[in-house]
Amino acid sequence: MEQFLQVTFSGLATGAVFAIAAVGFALLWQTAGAINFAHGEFIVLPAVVMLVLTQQPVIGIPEFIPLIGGTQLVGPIPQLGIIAAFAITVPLMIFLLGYVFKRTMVDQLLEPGGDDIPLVIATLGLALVMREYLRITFGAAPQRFPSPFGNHVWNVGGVAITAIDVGILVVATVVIIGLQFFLNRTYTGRQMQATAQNQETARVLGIPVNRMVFYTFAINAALVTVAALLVAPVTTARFDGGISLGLAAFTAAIIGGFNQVRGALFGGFLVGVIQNWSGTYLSSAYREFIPLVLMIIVILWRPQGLFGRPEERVV
Amino acid sequence: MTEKRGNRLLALLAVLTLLIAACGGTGGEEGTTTSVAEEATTTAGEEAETTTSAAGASTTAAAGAECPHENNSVFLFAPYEENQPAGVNWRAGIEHAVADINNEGGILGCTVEVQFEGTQGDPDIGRQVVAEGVELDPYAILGTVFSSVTIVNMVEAQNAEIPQFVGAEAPDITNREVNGDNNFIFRTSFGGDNAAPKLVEFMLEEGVQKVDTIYKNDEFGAGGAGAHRDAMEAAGIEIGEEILVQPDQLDQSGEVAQLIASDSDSVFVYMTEIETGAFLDERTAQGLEKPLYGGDVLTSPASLELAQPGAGDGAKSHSNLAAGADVFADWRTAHEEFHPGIEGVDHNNIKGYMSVHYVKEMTERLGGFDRLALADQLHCATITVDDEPGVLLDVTFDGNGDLDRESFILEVVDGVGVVAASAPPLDNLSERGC
Repeated sequence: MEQFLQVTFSGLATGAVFAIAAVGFALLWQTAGAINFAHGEFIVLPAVVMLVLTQQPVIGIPEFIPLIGGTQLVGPIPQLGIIAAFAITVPLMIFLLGYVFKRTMVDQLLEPGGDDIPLVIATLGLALVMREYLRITFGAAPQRFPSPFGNHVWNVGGVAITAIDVGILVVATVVIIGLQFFLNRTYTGRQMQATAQNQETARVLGIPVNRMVFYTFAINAALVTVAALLVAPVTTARFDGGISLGLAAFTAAIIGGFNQVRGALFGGFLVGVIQNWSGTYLSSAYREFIPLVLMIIVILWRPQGLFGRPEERVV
Repeated sequence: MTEKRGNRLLALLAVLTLLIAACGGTGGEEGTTTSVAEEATTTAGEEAETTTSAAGASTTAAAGAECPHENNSVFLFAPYEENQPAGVNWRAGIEHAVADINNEGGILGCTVEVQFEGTQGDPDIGRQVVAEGVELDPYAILGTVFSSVTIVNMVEAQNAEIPQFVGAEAPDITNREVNGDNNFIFRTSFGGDNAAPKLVEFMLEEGVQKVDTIYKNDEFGAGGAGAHRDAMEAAGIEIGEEILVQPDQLDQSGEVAQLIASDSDSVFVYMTEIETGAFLDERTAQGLEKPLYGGDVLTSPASLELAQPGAGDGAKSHSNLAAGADVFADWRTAHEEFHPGIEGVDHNNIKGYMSVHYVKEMTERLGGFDRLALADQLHCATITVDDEPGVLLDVTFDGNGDLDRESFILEVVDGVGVVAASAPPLDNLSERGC
């Protein structure tokens, strides 16, 4: 029983990361009708940026990192450095992975009601470019990423619970609840949802559609930075880390429901737990196989995903 | 007309997802990138030029001691796993050795030139890289390090009759019944089958009676763990759980939970650096207190640096080449001076360094650049530090390309692998083709 609880809890923690990543997929699909196959690399990039910020002085401001606290330089709060790096990285990523990505790629390739495939193919290419760029600039060797939650371990009823696991679960939960609240309970969030449902009608109602779409990309950029902060202490910072993460998140989003944030959430947790159960009770050779089989079954049985709603378009 | 366009798109994307997964294959996810690393010392155009001139030069070199490549040089090709600590360290060792040798006048007066190409740790890409490297007509090939990559690409060097020095440790690589009687493959560290008896003897001294094994599901892990299992069983150690870990698998909570639940008294760990680092973290988190035993990687700095501080403490390994051993102290100082700021120096740096010196020493013994003679003469040859200081340890190659020499038992103390004992050479070359 202890083994089952241990495996399940660890799977939930892993699944929380998949969930945050999968929400990014769902958010972009819902609001902009875009699918980003570079999503895994979008998570790796902020992880690398944060790591570099904690390791090196910022160009031209050598005292900057000691001032904000490199991980090894601040005594009482060793996590301050990485948290400060996170604070710097969020706006940077909102600009780069939100604004620049939207303007230079999405706006050019995705027309309302048009074909999605060019953007899908372009993001596959973008993933390759980002991966090779990171390999050349950051290096190929994986590097340990400092945990923002420390390394404490609690033993609860024979189940080892690490601070990283708890941190991932808590932060992921807070972020997701906050996102749901924002989308459902705020004026801007409802405008974003209206934009997602029908851009033309939203425009007629006076909703600034372009701004709402940008907000979506900005939120997605912030989400991938949060995901990077949570996942990198476990996966290490490495240039090719986005492949498996992006695949797991995409699988999760498909299983849970691509057009529902709560579906992507559920899918994330489900994939994390199933991976661990498969590895433990069958063989680790089935860790990624079983979720993919589940994905195929879901597509055949319920194409909109377990929590998704059927979509139809008039052409 | 209405159509379920969204669902069709999702179905298409699902197929794409499966394709991506398939590209990862058993070699892990790192192999899905299709491009090949170009951190080469020459441009593509220069490569073609080198190939053309070298083809004629090699023939000339076989007849005398002229340099086999243009500009009084000898050209070596080095495929390596640029996305793995093992490959990065292997390359660092080669770079250091080449600089040292060139500073002392090269090999038989010829400047050593080396071209590095990344394999991304992927067997298919690795074979493609070596196949292209063979076309450059190198005097020798230095790499690869990963067994799963090496076992696929070594046939290219064999067919081209080019000596290939590898850091890989899977037993099958130098098994002539498996490798097609490959006369051109040479190791820079023991195969798992020749390392296993030394570790098993140490485990017996420690009183190990029943051991679980956790290993990486690839050529290195399965081959190495299998060789160690055989040696343990032959020595009377009972084998308990046998647990696979996938390449790059970072969540090993289930696997560690299984090890805790087992009634074995110790654990044998055989994975590469990334999986080992993750295992050590999870073992610490869940409180797995059974003694850990393994090969070089378990106690290597590259593995320990990927784990939380102290996570590897207490682990013990049989190490082919312990970078922290006194015998390597001077070399290590020089290596760190050559690569300022380098971290995680381990056995792979030493292996890369030694590989170039093996080529140098045997070529100088032959008095000329003859690849066939090099491969032939190296079997069952002994090279001492007095002959060539760059080999760092006296070594004898067996009749299959594996080697025999002193090695080390390490224990991790305060995050560092320290030498606990030395293990003498097996001294059984008469049973190994000599």
